[in-house]
Amino acid sequence: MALLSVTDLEVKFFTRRATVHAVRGVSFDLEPGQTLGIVGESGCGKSVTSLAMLGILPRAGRVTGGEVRFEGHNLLELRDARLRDVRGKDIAMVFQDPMTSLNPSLKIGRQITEVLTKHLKMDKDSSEREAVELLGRVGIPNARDRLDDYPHQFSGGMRQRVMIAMAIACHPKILIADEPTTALDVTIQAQILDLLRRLVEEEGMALILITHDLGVVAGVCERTNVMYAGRFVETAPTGELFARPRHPYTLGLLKSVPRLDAARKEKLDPIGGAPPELSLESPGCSFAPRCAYATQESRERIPELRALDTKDHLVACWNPVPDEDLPTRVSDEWAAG
Amino acid sequence: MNKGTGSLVEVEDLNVHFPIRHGVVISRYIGDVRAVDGVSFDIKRGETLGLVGESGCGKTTTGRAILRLVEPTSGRILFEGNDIAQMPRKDLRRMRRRMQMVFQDPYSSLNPRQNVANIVAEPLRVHGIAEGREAEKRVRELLEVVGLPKDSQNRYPHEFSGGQRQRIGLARSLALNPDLIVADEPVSALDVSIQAQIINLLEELQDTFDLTYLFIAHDLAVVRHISDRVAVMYLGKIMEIAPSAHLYERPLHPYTKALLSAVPIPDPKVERTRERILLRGDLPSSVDPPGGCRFHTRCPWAQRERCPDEVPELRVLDSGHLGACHYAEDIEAGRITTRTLDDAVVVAS
Repeated sequence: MALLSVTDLEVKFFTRRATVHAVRGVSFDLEPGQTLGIVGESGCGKSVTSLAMLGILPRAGRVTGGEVRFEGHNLLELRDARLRDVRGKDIAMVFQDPMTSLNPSLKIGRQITEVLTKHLKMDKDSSEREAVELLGRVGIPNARDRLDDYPHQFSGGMRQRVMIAMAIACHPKILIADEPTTALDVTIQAQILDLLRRLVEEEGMALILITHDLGVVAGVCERTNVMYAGRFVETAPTGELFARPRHPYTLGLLKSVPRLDAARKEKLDPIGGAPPELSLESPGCSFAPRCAYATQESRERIPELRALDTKDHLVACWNPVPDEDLPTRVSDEWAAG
Repeated sequence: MNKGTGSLVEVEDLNVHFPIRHGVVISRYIGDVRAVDGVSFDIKRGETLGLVGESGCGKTTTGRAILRLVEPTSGRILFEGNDIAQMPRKDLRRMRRRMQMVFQDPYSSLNPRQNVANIVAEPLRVHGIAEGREAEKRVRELLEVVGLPKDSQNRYPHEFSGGQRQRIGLARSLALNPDLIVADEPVSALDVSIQAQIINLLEELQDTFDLTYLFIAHDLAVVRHISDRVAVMYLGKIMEIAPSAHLYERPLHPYTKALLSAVPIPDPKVERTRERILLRGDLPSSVDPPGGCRFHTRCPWAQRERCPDEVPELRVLDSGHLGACHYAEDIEAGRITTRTLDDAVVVAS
């Protein structure tokens, strides 16, 4: 049985000006220990999906449908107190900007021990010992001396390590990381991704990694979901998704990023136009106005996710990308010499 | 103007130091941030020189110093042989017509109270080049060139998406027919699908108007794509300069090697098999940078001799390929291997 099962999740934001339909029926299962990526561009609803699951949407946002099953309970129906218990203990979250998610006026040690005393009912001494242990595990040198430091005394990368230490403090079953490396320099990003990979393995926890960076999911996730305008448009094992993207949007994304290892310089092939306003409902596929493969049907009926090629590879498209249009991969070219 | 007819810009031993002061009533001078510390390079006419590095390496300050938007502490900046660093304000103003800047954040670099026509026409007015009808005509041309719809003229920046706003910024920078455009992270704030549109546009504009670019960015894949040559900066110094293809295929400086290996590649097959050089630790502060080679504290190949106390000069390692490393040849030949000490590890994944 899946560890976490999301079915038809819908989220709307009610503002004075308009109602924004941010998440439009998202479903997925997460198995224990699985690493799952959600990729998409800004405003596609990837962060909102995770916030909604944990009941921490901003005030204007409301879950308007669906369920989120975790260990037999629908998280969306839990009382606040029960949900707070799950959050932080069973399901932990790491955000993009560690400066805003850490309390700037509390010492790091205090912020970590708080998690331990609250969720695991540890006493002062053992929680401090554990905090030192945790900081050591996430690679903070001289952990004992740093307990009395404030967040501003840490660099960006170190702050993210502190956040990760707090997140794994209670040995969660699921870690949700929302753009955990976006604010970091590339050499620091490599350190943090390496740390996440290692911790997922050591702890046996499942990981939901939310990012806009295709390179990051390629290196970390077993399975990847591509999100566009509030829906998953393609979901597949990561290798399969990159080798045979069937949704025109996935293909478009892959063709529009310059690759560091490209054999030769080629003109980039951008996706024309811009993503739709999420305050508008469209009768058909949201990607149709930007899509070279769109048909009459695409404009009239919303495509559901359905299996293509294998039962693991699902695509929401009326006219999926045919084999002959798939990109030749650099790695294959290399293999061929 | 043909490609490769000499240098448009030559930067010689450029230093930009920002004094640090402390104290509320009496402000005491306590040191310098050496944002740019002895940087030399040239930009050839019609080429794109990429300038990469991590935050705080001095790449933005270098770009701004070339336009004298920050005052250089010392050094020469030659634009067609004229030293901009020493130029009186009056002459500088005339010179600035020929060099323009494009910024990262298209939100904050456009005046929200001006409509697009006014924003794009402003350089024409300021420099007394065109007004009235003539300016209007020029604005229409420029908007078309950057691919904005005709009706954009009377609209305001907030009505546009990020990508379109960057187009407005480009139209404004082109208004004076410049020779040089310094583009500082022009696509970093944009989503990938939009990023590609702007990169392609930059390339088209370069061909159409014989532009020379200094392209400043932290994204190595983007820089590789757009640049003819690339300079890599670390803590205020240039570590390596080489033709783009060369640098990526055969990086000779340890920092470049580490930087390239850290960039995630959107291909799980490649990601699984490639070698990573994981640098331990954070960037040292540029107030008190490490002596000797700036990179020696994080360098997996650092040696006890020379690296900690002798500053490596930028020297020719291969044709057109310059690097600032004492041991580049030894590393390349495998005579020096990586240490697996506390401060750096190499992971073969």
